[in-house]
Amino acid sequence: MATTQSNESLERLHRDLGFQRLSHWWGRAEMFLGLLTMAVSMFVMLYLAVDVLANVIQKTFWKDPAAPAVLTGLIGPGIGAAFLFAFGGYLALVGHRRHLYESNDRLAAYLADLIRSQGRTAALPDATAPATGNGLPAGSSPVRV
Amino acid sequence: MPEPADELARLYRDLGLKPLRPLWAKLEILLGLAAAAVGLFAGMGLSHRPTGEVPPWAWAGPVALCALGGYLALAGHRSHLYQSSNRLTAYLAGRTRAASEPRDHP
Repeated sequence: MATTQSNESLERLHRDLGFQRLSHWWGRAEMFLGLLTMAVSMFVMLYLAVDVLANVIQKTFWKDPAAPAVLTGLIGPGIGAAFLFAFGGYLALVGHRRHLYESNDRLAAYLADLIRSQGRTAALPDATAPATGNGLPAGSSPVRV
Repeated sequence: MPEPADELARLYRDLGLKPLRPLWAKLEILLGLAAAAVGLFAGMGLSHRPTGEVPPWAWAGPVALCALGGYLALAGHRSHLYQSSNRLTAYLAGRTRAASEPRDHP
C-alpha cells in the first residue's frame, strides 16, 4: 500500500521510466547559486550602465574624445554580465523545476501504487460467488498473484 | 465517496507531507519580491557612487537580498503548484478507490 511503500514505489517509477533519482539539496543549491549569480550580474550591469550613461553624455554633449574608447571597453564586461544573468536565471529555473519534478514523481508513484493495489484487490476472487468443486469461487485461479 | 478534504488529509498522511497554506505561499511570494526589490534599489544606490567610495563588501547586502528574496518568491510560487498537484492527486486517488469499492445493488 502507498502508506508503507512510498520509497519503493518511487524507485519503481524511476526504474520503469528510466529516470535518475533527484537530489532535493542539489535542487536548492542550484536555485540559490543561480539567484546569486543573477544578483551579482545584475549589479555589474547596473554599475556598467552608470558608466555607459556617463560616457554617452560626455561624448554627446561635451564632445569628449576619450569617451568612445571607454564605451568600447565596456562592451566585453557588458556581454559577460548579460551571459552571467542568463546562466544564473537558467540555473535557478533548473533547481525550481527539479523540486517540481520531485513532487510530481512522488505523487505519480503514490497513484501508481494505489492503482496497483486496487488492481490486486479487484483480482481477488469474489467470496460471494458460487463455489466450484475445488473449493474456490467460480472463475478464480488456484494461484493468487 | 469521501470528501475531497478527507482525501487530501489521507494523501498528506500517506506520503508524510505537511499541509500547505495558500495564504502563507502568497505571503512568501510578496515578501520575496519585496526583499528583491529592496536589494535592487540598494544596489542601484551603490552603483551611482564613485568607485573608490564603495567597499566591495557593501555589495554583499544587496546581492544577498536579491538572491534570498528571489528564492523565497520561487518557494511561494512552488507551494501553490504543490497544493494544486496534491489536490488533483487526492481527487484521482479518491476516484480510484471509489471505482474499486463494491457497489450496492438493490
